[in-house]
Amino acid sequence: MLVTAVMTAHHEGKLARASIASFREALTVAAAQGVDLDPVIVLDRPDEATQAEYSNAPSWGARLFVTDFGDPGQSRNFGAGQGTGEFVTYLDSDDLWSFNWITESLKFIAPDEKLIGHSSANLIFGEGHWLWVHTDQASEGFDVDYQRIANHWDGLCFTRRSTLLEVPFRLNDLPRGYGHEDWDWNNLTMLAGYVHRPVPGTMHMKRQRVSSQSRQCADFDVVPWPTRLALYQASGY
Amino acid sequence: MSSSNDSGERNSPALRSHWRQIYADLTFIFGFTKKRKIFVRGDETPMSLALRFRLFLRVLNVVAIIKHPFSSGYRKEFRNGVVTRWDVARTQIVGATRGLHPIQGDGSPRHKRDPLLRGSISVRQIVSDAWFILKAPGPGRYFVIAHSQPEMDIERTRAFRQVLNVVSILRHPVSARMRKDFRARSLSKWATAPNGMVDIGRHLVPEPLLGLRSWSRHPFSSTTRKAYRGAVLRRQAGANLARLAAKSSRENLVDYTPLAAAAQRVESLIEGSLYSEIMRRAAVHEPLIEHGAVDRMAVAPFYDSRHATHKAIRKRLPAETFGTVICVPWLRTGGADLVACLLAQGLLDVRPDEKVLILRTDSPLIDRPDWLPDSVQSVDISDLLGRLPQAEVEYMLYVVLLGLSPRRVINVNSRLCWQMMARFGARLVSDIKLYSYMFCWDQTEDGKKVGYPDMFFTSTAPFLTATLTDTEFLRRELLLAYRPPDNVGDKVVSLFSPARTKPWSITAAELSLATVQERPRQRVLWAGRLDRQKRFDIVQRVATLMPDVDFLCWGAALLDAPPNLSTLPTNIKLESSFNGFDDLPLQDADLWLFTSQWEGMPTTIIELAMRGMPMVGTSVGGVPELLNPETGWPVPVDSPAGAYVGAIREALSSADERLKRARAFQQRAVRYYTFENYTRQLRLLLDKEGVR
Repeated sequence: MLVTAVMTAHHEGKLARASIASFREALTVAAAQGVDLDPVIVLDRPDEATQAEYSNAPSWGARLFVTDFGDPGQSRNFGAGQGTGEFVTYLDSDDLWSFNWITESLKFIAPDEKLIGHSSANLIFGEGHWLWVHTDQASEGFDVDYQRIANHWDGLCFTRRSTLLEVPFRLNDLPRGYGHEDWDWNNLTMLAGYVHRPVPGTMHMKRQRVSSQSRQCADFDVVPWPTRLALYQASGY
Repeated sequence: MSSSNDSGERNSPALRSHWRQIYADLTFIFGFTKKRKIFVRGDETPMSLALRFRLFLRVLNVVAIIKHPFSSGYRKEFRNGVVTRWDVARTQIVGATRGLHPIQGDGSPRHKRDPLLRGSISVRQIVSDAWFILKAPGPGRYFVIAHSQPEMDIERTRAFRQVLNVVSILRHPVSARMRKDFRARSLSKWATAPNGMVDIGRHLVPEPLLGLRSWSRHPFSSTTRKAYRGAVLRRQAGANLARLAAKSSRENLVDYTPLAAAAQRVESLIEGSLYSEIMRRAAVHEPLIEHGAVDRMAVAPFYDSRHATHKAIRKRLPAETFGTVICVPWLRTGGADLVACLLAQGLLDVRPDEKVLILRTDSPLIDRPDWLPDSVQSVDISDLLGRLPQAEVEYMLYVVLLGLSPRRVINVNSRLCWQMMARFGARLVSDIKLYSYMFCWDQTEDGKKVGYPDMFFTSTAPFLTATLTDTEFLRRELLLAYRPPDNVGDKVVSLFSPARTKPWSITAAELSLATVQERPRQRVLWAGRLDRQKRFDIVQRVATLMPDVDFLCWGAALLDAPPNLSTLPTNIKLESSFNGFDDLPLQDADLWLFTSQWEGMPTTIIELAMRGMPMVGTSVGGVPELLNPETGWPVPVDSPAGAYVGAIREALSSADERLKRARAFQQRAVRYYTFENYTRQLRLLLDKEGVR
């Protein structure tokens, strides 16, 4: 089974080195277990430093694209659109996957077309270390009321490409106060009948820093687009 | 060792559930925290009960003592008893050491002075303070937020200090010096910066997962790990709670089972060799990823204090679909409160297939439940929202309104709703029609106009479906003062508030004439709050100038300090309050006096007009729309007392003229201020909404 591994970058500069190394390690581990891979790099309005970090990506088999979206969700959509795999997974250029992310996710997701995989937990590193535990939507601990006020899962998911084609990430409209594309996408996929679950035995390592995107989200005091999921009585949840 | 009172309390049927709750809390706590840091967690509902708080405070004290590193004797003694007899040992120990808050009054002078024990301080307020501490957001940081109270009174500060002491000891078991520094610094900052946010930076209680946190701080210490094994989690948090839950159907039992399950899942991940391998490999790429340095764990939704508030609000909200949600600050006795209830009735009449919900957002007070139409539900969420920081309160109201998804939200003087609309309204209107009432400006002592029109008109009018006023006066003022573009100005709509009463078939003026022979002296009535706005000082001066007339007055100070009434003229008889105009002797008096400095359209004037009561009144705000030289005796605003005296003399001098103007007063009210007219205006307004 072919997996399109999408790495999106913007202004991460040298921070991307660790992420690229992690990305390549997970590809190597998966390839060793017979997984066909389609690495795709999407540089969205990159600065020179970031572009330099990826200059040799073609040499290790990645397809490199430069886009002008200025939007994280559209970068991901583009990556999925360029991909050829049955499955797609994402990594941001300042974060790391656990080495087993692709192999374990593929095993976990493959049997069920409606599954979307997330890491079991994220280690947030930087100033202090803490674990952000991903909730299992199929468990009794899941409460849709929390999804109405906050987001259960980040965007570094593993899913079928068809899922992303059916429910693409929405374009943020920060000046109008709409953002949090990953939260919005989780809402939309839930409404479309998909189930978000942590993949056992996997971790993501996420760097604690204020990105330009999150700074803009704070500046514009953004909320996710309202969806039917927000409704108490008619959401279907 | 517990007192007999204590025993009696514990055994009363009404309190068993609270003890059960505390027992559940402690079962969970002790499951995690023997020899470790301890966190006491309460769920939302019982925390608002004074008694529950008292019980809970005992637990906090107990915890503090347990954790105190320097009271080894007590600690050992208590630990020995804690598993089986924690409920017995606490009071004596707590009172005996460390200057913590003694829970049980023992009759000593110290206890008699204690504001909490004496009952002279709001326990609810302290709970609110404590709740802020326990649920303070942010990793490893501790905030004290001073709410909106302008001053922190000394007793509240003392009581708060007691809570702080407990918490500080709880969280700083290793350093007496740090503890003392903390107390001193926190108190000084608290005292000097009551309106700000005080960061006392001690890594106190950042989230409601401290039991788990203390466990997760040491994921690679085998001793610690063993102490918090999944088996312990299951047995202590899961099984015991399940048993308790089976015994009790109380919905407020804290359910830690999902948390324990999530913790088990993560534990199984990070205890295994796989985690070590993941960390080892990741650290090769990024050295900042240190193996074994995890100091906190967040499990949604438990780590987010907003969730408990949201769930508590949902419990209170009816599981129904509403056509309209009316946001009010409270339902007291004011004109805006009455308008909200009349609006609810009007909506039921105009849209009989839609339900109406009144949300009280700023205060739980509801003084006039009789004003509420039968089929309208009123829900208070102010106490729940009060637990959150302001920015989160606004967000929570946005989430709740989005969740309720009514066809429309109408704000009738809710400050929180104004703030929410200013922040989120432009986005909310894509799903919900938004309306907001404005009644009038307030005035500062130097005459400057302030209030909601000044604060919110320009920021909200562009996206509101309509800004509603109850007078033409205010509509014109808004257009004149802010000069909005036509497409915004056209959405400023006057809705004349209706009278609650039908017009009297015989006017009060006529009834009064029938009894005039029974009154040896002429009588003038006045009613209103004894606040600056209502100008009771004018009444006093007028009464002084008219010793031959009696002034029967009703009122009490509500917003301002009470005026000095020690030199009240002898011809003023002042009563504190009245329930309705039908309780007042309108038919046994000659005239009504109205003296406000600023107004929109007081419901008082509408009600009196419907009754045909002759009136001398200040021609202020929207009042001239009803009171003019044909319908009464208007007096220009800022006139001296003599102008009122002149108007009163003129009115009292001619019974025929009083009768004539009172009838005209009533006829004008019937023309504009009936319920039928109100629903007609409302229907026109709602018909413009179009199809959803």
